[in-house]
Amino acid sequence: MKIKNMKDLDKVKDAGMKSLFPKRPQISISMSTCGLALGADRLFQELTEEKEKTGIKISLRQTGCSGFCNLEPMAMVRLPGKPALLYTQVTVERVRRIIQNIQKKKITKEGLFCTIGNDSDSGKPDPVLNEIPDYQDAHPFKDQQRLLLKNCGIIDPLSVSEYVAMEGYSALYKALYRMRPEEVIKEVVESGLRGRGGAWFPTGFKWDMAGKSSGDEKFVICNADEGDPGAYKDRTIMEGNPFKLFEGIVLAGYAIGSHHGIIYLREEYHHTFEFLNTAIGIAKRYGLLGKNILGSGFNFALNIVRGGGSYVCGEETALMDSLEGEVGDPRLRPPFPIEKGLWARPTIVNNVETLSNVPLIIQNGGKWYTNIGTEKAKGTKILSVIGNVRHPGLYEVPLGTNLKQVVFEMAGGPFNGKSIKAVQVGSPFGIFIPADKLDITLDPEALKEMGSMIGSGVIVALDQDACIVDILHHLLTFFVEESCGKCVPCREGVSRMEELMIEIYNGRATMNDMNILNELGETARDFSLCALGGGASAPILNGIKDFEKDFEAHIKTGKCPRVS
Amino acid sequence: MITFTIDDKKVSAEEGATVFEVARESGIEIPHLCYHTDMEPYGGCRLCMVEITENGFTRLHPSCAFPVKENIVVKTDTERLRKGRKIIAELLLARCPDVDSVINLAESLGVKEARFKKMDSDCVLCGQCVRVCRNVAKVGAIDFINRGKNRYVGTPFDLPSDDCIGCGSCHYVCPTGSMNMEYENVLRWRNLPGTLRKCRYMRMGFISHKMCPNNYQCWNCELDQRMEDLAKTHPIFILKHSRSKEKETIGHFEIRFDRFYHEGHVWVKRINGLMRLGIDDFTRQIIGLVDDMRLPSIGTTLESGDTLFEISGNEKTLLFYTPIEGDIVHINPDILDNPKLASMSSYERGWILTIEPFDILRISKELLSGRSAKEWLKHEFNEFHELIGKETETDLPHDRPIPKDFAKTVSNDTWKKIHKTFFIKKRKKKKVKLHRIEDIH
Amino acid sequence: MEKEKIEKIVNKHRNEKSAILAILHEVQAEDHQLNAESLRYIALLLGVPYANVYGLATFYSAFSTDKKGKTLVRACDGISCHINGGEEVIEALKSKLNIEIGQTTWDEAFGLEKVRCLGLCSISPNVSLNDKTYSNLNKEKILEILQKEMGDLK
Repeated sequence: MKIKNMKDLDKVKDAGMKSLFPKRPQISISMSTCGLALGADRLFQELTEEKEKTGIKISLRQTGCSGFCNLEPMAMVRLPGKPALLYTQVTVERVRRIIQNIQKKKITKEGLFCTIGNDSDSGKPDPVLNEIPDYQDAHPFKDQQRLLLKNCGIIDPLSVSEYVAMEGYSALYKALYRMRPEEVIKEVVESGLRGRGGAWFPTGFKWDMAGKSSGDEKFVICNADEGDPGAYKDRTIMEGNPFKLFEGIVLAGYAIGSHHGIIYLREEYHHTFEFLNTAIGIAKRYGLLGKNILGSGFNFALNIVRGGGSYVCGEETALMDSLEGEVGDPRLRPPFPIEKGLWARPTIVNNVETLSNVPLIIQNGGKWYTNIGTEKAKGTKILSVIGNVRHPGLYEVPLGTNLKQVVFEMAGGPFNGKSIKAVQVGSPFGIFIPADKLDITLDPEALKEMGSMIGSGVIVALDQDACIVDILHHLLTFFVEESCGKCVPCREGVSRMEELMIEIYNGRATMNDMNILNELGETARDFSLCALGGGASAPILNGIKDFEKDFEAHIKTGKCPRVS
Repeated sequence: MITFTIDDKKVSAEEGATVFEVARESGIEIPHLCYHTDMEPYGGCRLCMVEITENGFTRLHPSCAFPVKENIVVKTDTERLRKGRKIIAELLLARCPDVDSVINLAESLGVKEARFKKMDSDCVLCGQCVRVCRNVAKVGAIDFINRGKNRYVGTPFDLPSDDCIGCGSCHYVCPTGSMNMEYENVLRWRNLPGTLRKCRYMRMGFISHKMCPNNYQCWNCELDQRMEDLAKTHPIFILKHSRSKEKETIGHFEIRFDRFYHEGHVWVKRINGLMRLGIDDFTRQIIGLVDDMRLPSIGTTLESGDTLFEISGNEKTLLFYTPIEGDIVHINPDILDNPKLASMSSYERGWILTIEPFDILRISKELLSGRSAKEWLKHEFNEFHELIGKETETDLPHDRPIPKDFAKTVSNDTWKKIHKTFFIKKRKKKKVKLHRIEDIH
Repeated sequence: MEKEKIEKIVNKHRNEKSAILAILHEVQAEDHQLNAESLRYIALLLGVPYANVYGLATFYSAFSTDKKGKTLVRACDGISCHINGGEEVIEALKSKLNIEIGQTTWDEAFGLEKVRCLGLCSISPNVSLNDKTYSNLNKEKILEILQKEMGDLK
């Protein structure tokens, strides 16, 4: 059915509420790429067969991932009148037992991780749940402010009605019916939202310029290339709550006067590609994409283009060249994309996370958004904490949160009694911060001052056994392989840096080589054409300064430093 | 005129000039490698970087690509720039240690030796050969292969190219002398039988027919000499496809030089063996926003003078006749979804149909292009305004596009006259069957 | 790929040059390769230079002008997989398949590649065999999976 007015929207919302809080028991399995990699598809199949065999009256559905893939496969069980129960690392046997217990109207305790929410009509809480924490108090979900990831893992990502029941599309409705495009831009400007893909560019300013650019056609490009190793927040949003992203894209189109959006998706995300195409088809059927969106008369077409496997195509001008059917060599700027972008038309390129913030901002107002975060950095940021920590995963926190709190308290700190040696914020271009300097706030302005950056939010924690030289060399091989080869400082300079790093690693270098490394790094930083060459040297140059011992060990012995 | 400062010297320049060009004119030669006067800037060598202070912020920009702006302060020779240029030269020297021009460039920047492991390439990947072959000669026989440090310039699978026309422009623009395509191809052509030995100026498109009378010894050839004297540069650069003339506005009608035009105001563009066509800017402005069309079916055979398609907008219609003879093979599906595209993007996404021509060589003889198209459009522009002045009470402005609702405001009689004068001059006995868009879906 | 099939794919994308990535993906998926004939014909249909299409096929990692194995083994080498033992997994793959990164086994059954990254960073190391991904790997587990795959093929 096509949603054409508020009445239709309310109807859909009611259907969604019924689906989320059904009258019969419900089991949901997380079926994102991570769940599938850990056997969730087999699990779902077994459940379906079990249901048919026994004929029990339960509803089965699929959800996205909550960002903690190491807890997958996850199953959410909702018994009418009781709070939802989240089971982690579920196996086929366990689920069978859960179903058996459901028939006996008992709650299974084995594998029960936490409850989600408290139902008002739950009456006396079940004694089984006495020691089970609620979602908001359970590691690793607690202390987060999950505005963007709120529904990931909870709703069926392909259900429009469930998203609408959780406040979806009220922002777009408000914008299309009660706001002018300039007012939408004004809210985004007021919110202080800045690009979440790594460039940290003021989104409202970009939209304002694009809105003012003249042209017969304008484009909205959603950068879903997510090339930074360690980053998977965009995939989680796309597989957990795609309609939120679509809503943000359509809002962007309405704001700047564009009727055509393109999602440029990473080639390596095979499952996400199929999934998003299905989601777009569903959105079209509901009148949320295509002609006459929500009955407002506004048209917007969205399609997905798969990348070819190239990190540099995540850079916005290289991305546009790639969309035009060329190789991904970044362009010269000026002219800027807001004036002359895709096919020389005004274009805005925004990250998935940035666009997902927009419905919230339009719904609650730009001013509301400014209450989250710091003075200059507003809103939340999804951090991907990986490496030597107990609870790697996606942590959505207000900007300005303390780094130590994130790594040690929320992510559980290092395991096996080891100590943290360094933390890289903003991988792969961020610097490695030594253990004694981790008491900093994750405020992009503060990070910039110490030579670091928030990037796309990847935080890599290294413990005492890690060798910085090895990690820096690994980073350099990444840059060398992904360089497009257009400009000399990156193609020649960064690859020579990698050659030197190998010599250092194998003990065949001298202290003079460190100076050459510095010179190359500085040239690449200042003279490169794009941010790949420009940012490649920062972690290396800082690593040389802050981790002398590791470099000394390699130069003298050709081996990693021993932990004393 | 824009005034700004370079190295504490006040200069003025026309809008659209680049900092590099203005510096050169003022006697300041900025080091460069991948720059060529007749081509678009590439920005790959990064030698020409300069410090530009704009609105209080100082940043590094490649001077070959930075358009001049009022009051900017440019510095071409600071300590930071010198250091960077030295490293870049050193890197190039390590890449091409035996190439004279690289050795000279490095020496001029104070670099005698490279501290890195030497490669043995003779190509600096400046991209000039690729760009001249693709954008100027419009052939694209060579291109960049691979990416990053494994990048090189070559032909598919490193096999001899069938597309190369032997113009030699790649060799002409190459700064290191490593480009050998022309030489290699000429060697192959010497083995061809006489009937296939086309002169390279025929391949380039200067002459319609000429066989090579000597053994491809172009340096001995009078024609080659004459062409180079005429051009004062490589002849490829005087071909009508030079970068500054991709499109032009005649009065207020836009004409694009990368395609042919028919006197009935249909443009024709060659997409390899097929001819794609659509309405030109003249038509677009006169009819306004197209909201409907009647099109022929795929497979229809067209002969000279047959009607081709009909467009409607602002309560008026225009009928067009076919510019070429052939079979219709394709209709633009985007147009079927949205006829408005024909007005919104008449020269690009709003193309209408594709024809497989019977005789492709006749087309370049019979249709207008380049200068002849320009003259024709000028004539049409003048005639149009004359007609409007006579038929209606008001004159339309000569420097602004025609008002969007023009077709609506014009009387049916005047419209008939416009149609007859500019679009369909003779009525043909055979009218091709045209279908409404809904019937085509 | 036969000319008719290529024509169908190109027509589906309306002969638009901007759709070339999608066209190359489709041909690569079926043929496991983009060979000279296919590239030449695609270039002809789209009206672009052959060398340009070849350049695209060599620029992007997803395409290969050589035949990739029927089972494409992509070992993730992102920073998370690297820290959590990814190197060991890659070495195990190299020695078991007896090929280097970027090569194909002599019977064209397996191809080995490094990829960065699959977006499964908290369950690293990860390896994908065609469209199936395996996570939380170590040397033993990946050898087991590979063994099973080789057995299934027989």
